[in-house]
Amino acid sequence: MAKKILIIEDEKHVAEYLEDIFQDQGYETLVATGSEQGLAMAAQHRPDLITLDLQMPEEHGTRFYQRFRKDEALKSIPIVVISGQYSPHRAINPDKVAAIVAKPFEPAELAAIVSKALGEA
Amino acid sequence: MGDKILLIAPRELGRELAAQLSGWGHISLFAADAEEALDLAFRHKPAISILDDGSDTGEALELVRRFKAEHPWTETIFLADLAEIERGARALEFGASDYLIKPVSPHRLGVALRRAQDRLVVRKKLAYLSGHIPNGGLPAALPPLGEETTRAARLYDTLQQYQQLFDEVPCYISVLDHNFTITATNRRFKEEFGELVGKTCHDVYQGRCEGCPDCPVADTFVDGQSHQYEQVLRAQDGRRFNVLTWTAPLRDAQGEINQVMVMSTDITQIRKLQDHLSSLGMVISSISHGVKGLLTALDGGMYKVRAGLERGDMDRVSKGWELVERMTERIRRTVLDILYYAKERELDTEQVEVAEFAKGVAVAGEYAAKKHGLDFKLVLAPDLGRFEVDPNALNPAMINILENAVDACLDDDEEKPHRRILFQVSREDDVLVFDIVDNGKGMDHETLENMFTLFFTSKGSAGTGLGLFIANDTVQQHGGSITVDSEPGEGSHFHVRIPEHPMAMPWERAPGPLKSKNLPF
Repeated sequence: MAKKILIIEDEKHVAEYLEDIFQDQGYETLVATGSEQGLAMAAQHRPDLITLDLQMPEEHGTRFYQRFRKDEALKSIPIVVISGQYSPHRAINPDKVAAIVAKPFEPAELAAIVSKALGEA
Repeated sequence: MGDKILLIAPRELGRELAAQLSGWGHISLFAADAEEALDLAFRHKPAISILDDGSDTGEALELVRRFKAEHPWTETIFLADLAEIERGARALEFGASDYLIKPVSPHRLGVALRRAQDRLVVRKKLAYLSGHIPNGGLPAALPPLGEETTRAARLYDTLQQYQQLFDEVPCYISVLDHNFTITATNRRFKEEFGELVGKTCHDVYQGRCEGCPDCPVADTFVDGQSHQYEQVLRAQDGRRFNVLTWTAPLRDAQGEINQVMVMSTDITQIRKLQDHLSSLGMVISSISHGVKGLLTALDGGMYKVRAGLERGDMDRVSKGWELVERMTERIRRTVLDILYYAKERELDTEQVEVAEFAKGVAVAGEYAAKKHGLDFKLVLAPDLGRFEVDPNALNPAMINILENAVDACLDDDEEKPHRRILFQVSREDDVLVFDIVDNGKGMDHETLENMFTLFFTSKGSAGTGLGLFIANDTVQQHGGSITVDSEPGEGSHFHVRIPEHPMAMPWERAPGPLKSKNLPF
């Protein structure tokens, strides 16, 4: 069965791009446009990996991250942080996320990072 | 009034000098030897003595020493031969105030006299300051030129130096007493703020009747420490200065703080530069965020094209290419906006045919709309006539609003049978009116409130928040206004009014409440 990736990203073109990349690698994808929706979808669909955009205007990605980390049932899911900033928010502990990817990114590179985070490489 | 000058010299030289001195209005006394010189000095108290090394005085240098000891208020000028020049230097050690090499020219004599007179004035002030003589009067009994006078001389020099430092230091300095009354100010302070001694600082600086809360001067009176703070001062001519202010306690002889010195450094230029830099930083950060978002979306489009080509999926190629086109267009606009924003420009107005101008704007708007399958309609009222605007500024501003309408339609996720944009141009007497109406995604309250704010964008990472800011700025430069009515999910109506005569602009009228059924298609 295909592994599921939850994409939390408010910018629809970027979300679509990520979906394209992951689907081409054979993964199933889900998209949430904000942190509330992201938490709900994570709880419902139990994805194998989550990509998180930190800069969402209404619901900042760090809020999702903090609540996600406190959730016993979810916190074992690997997170790949995708950020437009060179240094991501200090609320993010780089040791506790699978990877931090800066925008713009190379699709092949992102695919390799995700594959590794899923324990495939 | 001339001075009494005692000449101690051989007759011939004495006569020459006396003639010169009386020409300048001085009274000459003549002594041929040491005894006579001391006697005349005792009786007449000359201001200056001129002592020739070749006079019949025995040892001339010894006479210099005696003169200084017995007649300290007489300045001695020593005349030396060129061959004996080192005796002139010795004379200074013995207390002469100056020496001249013979033959003495009238010019050099005049200079030496003036210097001797200046020294006398300073010494008299000193004696007054140190309590030796009453103000203005000559000393009844001459004080010895002892340690005390030397101390007083040093004190006088120090006072002079401090006064000069106080006046010349590149700071505004005031001294305040316990009642916050200004007791002294330096020259620079007076130049900018006026003669404010006797007024209270809160009255002057802050325009208050009472003291200010958290007054650093009050703190310094209490704790004896220096406090720093930043404030804005208003000069006499109304200019405002950002200043960084330090306070420092001044203590009396008992060590009690009786006054506080307030020193302010003008940091207006630094503040301006900082504001400029931080605004530049904001511009760069906002633009870089927006550009990254655009580039990532552009990457997404290119990825689609490439993947579609590899798999022979032409539908995917076509979708990808459309995205590439849209993102390229947005990047182009963003770059143009940045270039426009970076350039400060004055309006350069000319008379334009309104209909022609409107058609020019519509061509760009229609191109953007049709490319994405949107309906576009241009409605021109008859007899638009000519109007004075800066077409090079207003054209991109109006296109920006039209392209914003295109984006609002494209970003709308709701299913709508027709996505359309209306561009209508009309005239109300002296006011040119542009209406741009779309049935796109509309705006929520927050977006409506902030849409013209620099760097505000509702397009996530796909916008920079520059476009509408610049459009609004341009319309305002024309003396006009933009009002907007919008409902989320229903669309937006931009109503732009530009007056023929900017001063005659009536208060802007908001368009009526917008409902989709009111959309004039």
